[in-house]
Parts: sequence; structure tokens; C-alpha cells
Amino acid sequence: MLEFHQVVDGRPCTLAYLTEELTPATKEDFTFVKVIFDDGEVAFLVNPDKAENKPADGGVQEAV
Amino acid sequence: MIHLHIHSKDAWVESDHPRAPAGTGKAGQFVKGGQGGGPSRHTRPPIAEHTVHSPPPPKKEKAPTPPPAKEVEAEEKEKSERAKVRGKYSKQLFWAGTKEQLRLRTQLMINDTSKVLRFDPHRIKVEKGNRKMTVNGKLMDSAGTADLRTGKITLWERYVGPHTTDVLAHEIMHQKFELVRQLYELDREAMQKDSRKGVFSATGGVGAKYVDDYPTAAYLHPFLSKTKELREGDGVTDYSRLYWDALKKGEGNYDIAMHETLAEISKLHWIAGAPVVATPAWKNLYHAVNAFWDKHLQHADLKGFYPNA
Repeated sequence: MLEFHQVVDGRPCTLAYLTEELTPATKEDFTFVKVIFDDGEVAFLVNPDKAENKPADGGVQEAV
Repeated sequence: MIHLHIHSKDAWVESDHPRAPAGTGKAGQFVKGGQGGGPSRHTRPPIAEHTVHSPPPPKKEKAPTPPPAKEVEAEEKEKSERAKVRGKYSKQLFWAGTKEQLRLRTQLMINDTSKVLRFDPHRIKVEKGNRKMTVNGKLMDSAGTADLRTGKITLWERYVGPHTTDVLAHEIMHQKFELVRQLYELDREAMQKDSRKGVFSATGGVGAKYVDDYPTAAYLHPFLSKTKELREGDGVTDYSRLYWDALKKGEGNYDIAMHETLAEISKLHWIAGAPVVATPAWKNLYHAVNAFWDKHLQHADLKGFYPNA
């Protein structure tokens, strides 16, 4: 889903909620949210509630 | 000045303008049309989506011409390169090894992806820390950002993974389209201020005599002005379709819908290879933006375009 006329960090923006497969998600259940700021910056944020799927050491698996 | 080889859609096609046959007393004269058919040449339509014009009369469908062998060969080569790079970095093994190995692999992925997509890899950087933002009261990490004001893309190391090349294909297209769009709008703004007769063609494009003065607008107007077809194209993925559905309800922003759709086409093109999955208007625009980028911008010094970078 999309949300228009939002404010993030004091900057006006549009929000797009996405699944892990980058398909549309709901505001209640999403993995990513894309923040499209009106000033031209775009940020791809990770829902911390879903972040446990990532490798615990920050994306790196030590060689065995 | 940028010089372009223009394939104008406004070019005269004799077969589109039937004339009376010999012996009819009006030999050589046009069967229909003539004075005062189209909009005034002095009408100056605004830029972007508002350059909508009266629809042309329906034309007979022509059988599609197969692309020249060289184009097919180039497309096949590019498809192979895309598949090779994507396949190389899209496996779970991407994460294998030490942190240093992962950092090296990430940089190689950026270099290889940028090369295939003809984008400067120095415009993509990897950050080790965190950039947090609060959305609806929830503090979140940034996995990546793209700044259209600076032309730069930032990836946060802990979120780099096997799908990052797909994300890059999407974000790089944002950067390409934004720069091309800005150059187009600069031309259109200059045209609005140009009082010479015939600067605008009857269809709202660039008048034939002024193509060299406004090469970006001349090249892209035939594609960007197809707003009806682009809107009806309705996006190419469920994600980009969200923006067009919102526009139908009077919400959102046309430029964002354009941006997200082209970025999604780029991602699909990256994942699936050729051919691009989209309606003809979108395919043509996507290829036009990339062709313009490849010819004029991929090797250009872009510092002047990004004064805030």
C-alpha cells in the first residue's frame, strides 16, 4: 500500500510498504518500506520486526 | 551542445497522406486534410505529462519489421551478460566467507553490475554503519538509499545480499531517468521562452528547423508525450501499478509513477533478460532513455549536473 503526504525525519514523503519479494504489502505486515522524499532522496528501510531473517552477524557468515 | 541522431516520429510518410489519382481533375492533391487541421503552431503546451495532443487519425496496422541482425546479436549479448552477472551474485553463497571476502565480493558485484548497466560504479558506495529513520513511530535501518539530487546510490553493508543486483538495476534506472528527464525539461523550458515561429511542431514536439537547438526534447518527446498510452499501460508490476491506481483516484504524482515503472521495467529486464516485459509505449520509452544515456551520458562528466553532490 501507498501512503501519500507523510513526514519522515521532518521531510515530506510518500511511503510504499513492501514484502520481502518487493511486492505490495500492508502497513501492518511489511518487510520493507520505501520512503520517497519530495526533495529527491529515496530510502529503503527494513522493518526491525522482520530483520531477524538476516544473518545475525550483519550479513556475513564466517567460513567453516 | 549535445548532438543527436534523430528518428523523428513527425517525419513525413507519403503513404499516410493519400492523394487523388491522375484523371480525377485533382491529381496529386490530398484526398483530405489541408488548412487548419491541427492545433496552432503558436500553442505552447506545458512540459511533462501535459503535452497531450489531439489523437492522430487511426492508421492501418503495419506488420512488425524484424529487428536487424546486428540489433538481435547485441540484445543476445547483453542478455547473456546480464544473466552471467546476476547468476554470479544471486546465490546464497554470496554470504560465504569472511567479512573481508564479503566486502570484496560486494565491490566486484557493484563493478560488474554497473558495467553491464553502463553506470559509473563510483556513484555507488557501501557504508558500514547504520542510518536510521523513524516511520510511524518505529525506528528502522536503511538498507539502501538513492539520491536523485546527487546521482549517488548508497548500500548499507549488513543488508547487501544475493538480491542486491536486482535492487541496483531498479535504482540505477531511477538515476538515469532523472537525469534524462531533467535535460528534457530544460529543453522544454527553453522552448517555452523561445519566441521564434515554428519552435513547436503541430504535435507539440520540436519544430523541424529547431531539432539541433533542442535535441533532447526532439529525441524524447515522441516517447514522453504518449501519456495516454503510458497511463493505460498501467505499470508493469503490482508495485508500480500501485502508483497508477492511486493517480486514477486523484492521489500521488505522475513523475513518481513514471519513475517507479521505468525502474521496475529495468529490474524485470535484469532478472529475465530480453525482451522487456511492458506495453509498446513503455518499452519504447525505456529503450529511448537507455539509448540516450548510452550515447550521451554514460561517459559524461556529470559533476555539473549535480551541484549539490
